[in-house]
Amino acid sequence: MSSSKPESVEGLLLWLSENAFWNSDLLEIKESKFGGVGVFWALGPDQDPENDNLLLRIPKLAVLSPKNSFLYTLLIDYEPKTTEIDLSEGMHSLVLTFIYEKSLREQSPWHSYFESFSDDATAVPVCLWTEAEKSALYNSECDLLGMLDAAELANFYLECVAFAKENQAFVPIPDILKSSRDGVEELSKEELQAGLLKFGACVQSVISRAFTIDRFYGLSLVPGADLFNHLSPIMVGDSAITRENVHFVCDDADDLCPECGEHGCLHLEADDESDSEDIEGEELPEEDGDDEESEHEQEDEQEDEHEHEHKIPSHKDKSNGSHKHPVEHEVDAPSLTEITMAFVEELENGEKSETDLDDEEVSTLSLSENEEFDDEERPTVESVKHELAAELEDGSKCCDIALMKPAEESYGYELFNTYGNNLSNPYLLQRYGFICPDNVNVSCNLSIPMFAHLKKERASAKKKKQLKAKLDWYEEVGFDLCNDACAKIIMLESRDHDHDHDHDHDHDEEDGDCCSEEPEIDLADTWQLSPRIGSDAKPTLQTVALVHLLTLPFKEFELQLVECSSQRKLEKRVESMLVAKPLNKAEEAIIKTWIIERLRRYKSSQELAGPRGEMISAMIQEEKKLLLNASSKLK
Amino acid sequence: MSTCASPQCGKTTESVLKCPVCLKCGENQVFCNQLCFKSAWPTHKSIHAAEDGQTYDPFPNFDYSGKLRAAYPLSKKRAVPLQIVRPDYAQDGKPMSEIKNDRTGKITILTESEIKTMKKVALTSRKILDAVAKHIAPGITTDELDRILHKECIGYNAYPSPLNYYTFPKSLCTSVNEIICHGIPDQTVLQDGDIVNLDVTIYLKGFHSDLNETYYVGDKAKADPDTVRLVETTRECLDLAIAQVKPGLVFRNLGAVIEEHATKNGCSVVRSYCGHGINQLFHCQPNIPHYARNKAIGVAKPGMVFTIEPMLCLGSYQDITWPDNWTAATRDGKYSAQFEHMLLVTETGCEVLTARLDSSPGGPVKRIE
Repeated sequence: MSSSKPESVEGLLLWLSENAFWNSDLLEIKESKFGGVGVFWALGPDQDPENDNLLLRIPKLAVLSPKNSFLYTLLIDYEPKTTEIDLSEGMHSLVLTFIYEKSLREQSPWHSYFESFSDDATAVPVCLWTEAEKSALYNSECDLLGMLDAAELANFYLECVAFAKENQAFVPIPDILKSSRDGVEELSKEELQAGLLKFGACVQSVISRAFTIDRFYGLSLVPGADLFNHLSPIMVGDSAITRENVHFVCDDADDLCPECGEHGCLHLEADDESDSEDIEGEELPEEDGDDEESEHEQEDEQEDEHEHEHKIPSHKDKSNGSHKHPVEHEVDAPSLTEITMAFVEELENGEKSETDLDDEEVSTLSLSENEEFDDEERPTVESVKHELAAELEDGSKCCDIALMKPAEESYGYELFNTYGNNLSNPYLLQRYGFICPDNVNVSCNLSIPMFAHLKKERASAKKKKQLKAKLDWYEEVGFDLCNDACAKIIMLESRDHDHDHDHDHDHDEEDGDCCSEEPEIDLADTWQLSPRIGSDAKPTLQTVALVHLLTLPFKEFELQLVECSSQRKLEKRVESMLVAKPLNKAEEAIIKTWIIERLRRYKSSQELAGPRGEMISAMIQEEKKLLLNASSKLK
Repeated sequence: MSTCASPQCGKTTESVLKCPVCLKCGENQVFCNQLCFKSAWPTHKSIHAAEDGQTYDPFPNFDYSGKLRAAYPLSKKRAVPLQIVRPDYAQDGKPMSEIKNDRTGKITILTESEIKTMKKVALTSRKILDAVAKHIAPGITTDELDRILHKECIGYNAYPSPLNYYTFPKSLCTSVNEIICHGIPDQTVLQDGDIVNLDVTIYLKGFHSDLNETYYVGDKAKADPDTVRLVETTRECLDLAIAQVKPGLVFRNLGAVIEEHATKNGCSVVRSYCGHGINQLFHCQPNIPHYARNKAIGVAKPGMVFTIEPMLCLGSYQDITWPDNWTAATRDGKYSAQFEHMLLVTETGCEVLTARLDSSPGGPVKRIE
């Protein structure tokens, strides 16, 4: 869980009151038994009398996204020196942004937010754990999924150091990126390791808190939203039940421009002028009375504008867009040969009635904007708050934490989020630094014994050639088709499951329970990583498919799959011959051998003390249990 | 063949469809079709004279915040000779090149030769502003100032950048008294005691150059302690901000300097309008808010050109926009002043490209205690 210091929550709450909406009537921040602080339902067993599900709302302009940081222009100007790492996007840009903003201390708009972080220097990515710890993780999922290799993190670190050096004429180098040598390549192994550990702590801090906002802002830190602890789903009967109380909600509609983050902006139009013509035409009648628009609406537009555009009220843009080639739109309109005074009068009257309407609207508009201000008004905290209120009114420009399910007494009314209901413990550990006991998402990879098996299969030159043909086909054609078939079957099964199991809870669409969500289709990305035992202690469909392929007589393989005449036929055959076909005894035996081989590879090293040691043994226990269970199910 | 009088169209047309109101006054204003006419009507009608031939307030129902009123009719759109190179929005009001570039986070760094050109254009824009400012005196209309500016621009082969930028109707922005910025030159007669800001931008040799100054009209304005405090504080705020500009300046920090000096002198800082990058584009990155604690992005590097243009108010910083969709006025009707320079970031600091000349009219006056 992203740990925050209880004593500095005050500063964070102040930050939230100045930059966001935090529902302090309903929420309380205090120490959680899940570690660090958590967010609690302040009313105990009582429901919110107002029935307001909004717990936190924060304008996208206020989140710590690289796009909101002073650093952004330097990030996009930078060309990677030593690696292919792109510092202008995703996690890389967010980590670097975080390091720089944090180093500015009070100069950063997010200072009091950073102050609420706990400075646990030992919370580093698992790839930076000690050699003894990594060795204890040998053959574990963390190991097999490549999480113990620090090379990528080291490259990222070196690129950040290079970035800092290149930009030191403009921005002082943050302590974390200071290097004692001229070139990073001159660093000793120890120096590199020491720097990497500090850097790694930042990376962990960021990854464990990050949310994806939308296609423009991308991965960002969202003050307040990261205070909620995580709760994994649990098994009830044979279904996994999600347990989170809140959801992070953020508008990422299709018309959101990835260039500027605005809705239906002119970027989209600029990209494809001709396509947007029709839509513009429809706006024509409304836009005509623009000039007499109510005062409120103009204000509204300007509030949106002031952060990023110098002059233009945005409705101006639209009206311009809509009139560009008016002649092409209203085909039905009779073309006039003369504009008469009667026509002009009609225009005038139409405009007047619209104006009247607007005047009416002014009086009914919301409190936040049209209030009178004192004559002596200065930009004090109070008046700036009106600006914030206006920003918060437009939900599409904000991120929310919304209540989905009431807090439960058994957790002391703590409100939980989910960081991902399909995350297994290795992934939870890698991203958030903790694991969840009895995690329903558990799986065991069988790639290494699978490759050992392939090696044996290559005994003769002929067999070697045949195997190569199969695997080449699988790589290029078969694996993708198998995945499609797997996804289809998983979808169907989950639909059946929906109707099978008892609904003893209210079936609200927004309930966040197991049924209302799309099933998570958890498929390995490559065939090499695809053989696995799933959480049900059975070989996954991908595993079944791979084994079928391996045991398929070569002639049949060539005839049925390689030389298949039509794509549709091929898809059907892949499904029936590889994915949906039950394993025969020999095939089960193969998988069983793989499982036993994987089990044998665990080291019988002594258990390590401390929280990390406990997590390591818990994960390995969990994996062994699953493997033994799977093995016992196979002939 | 004629040009469609709709500012959003501006195409050449064989149409003979004319505005009947203009015809009555012997004016030929041609539109492609009735749709061009219809869409242009709300702004087009601003050039129509009242029946009694007097100036009139086109927004009688608007709750003006101060004493100033829009004084129509506007003069008709001034022509720009064909040989003058125009920016992309000159015809249809839509600055597509800017729109495409908007918010990409990329800040242009000019090459040596571009900087050379930019400096020349900046000097020209200063000369043009000075030439117009010389005419400021009680009794002149803001429209007349616009006429002079337009003629000056043409004399230098420059396009007046505001003209038809998002269909802005005039070549100059004139902001009187409580007007914060973007005032449209009209039949308003300047009075002794007024202050007026002239915001000039020209487009020449492929570059825009933007500057503005606030001037006292007559001697009464210079004798009013509050007015002088406002105007001089604003002038000083700009100077203080400029002193901060060097490579490594974090743009979002500029506002703190401005707001501190403003607050110290009992003025507020407008938040709705910002300084901006300027080069081949009129408005681009970086965005320069003038108030403290903003979240603007970017760091100054040598070769960047941008404006700082603080707007200060005697009362509240809150603004309202007139129904013309341009004129920004203070919400409490109290005076507002603005100064703007265009800065080039150099290796060691910055160069004020639009700096005053020895001959420049206006300039600081002493505060009245």
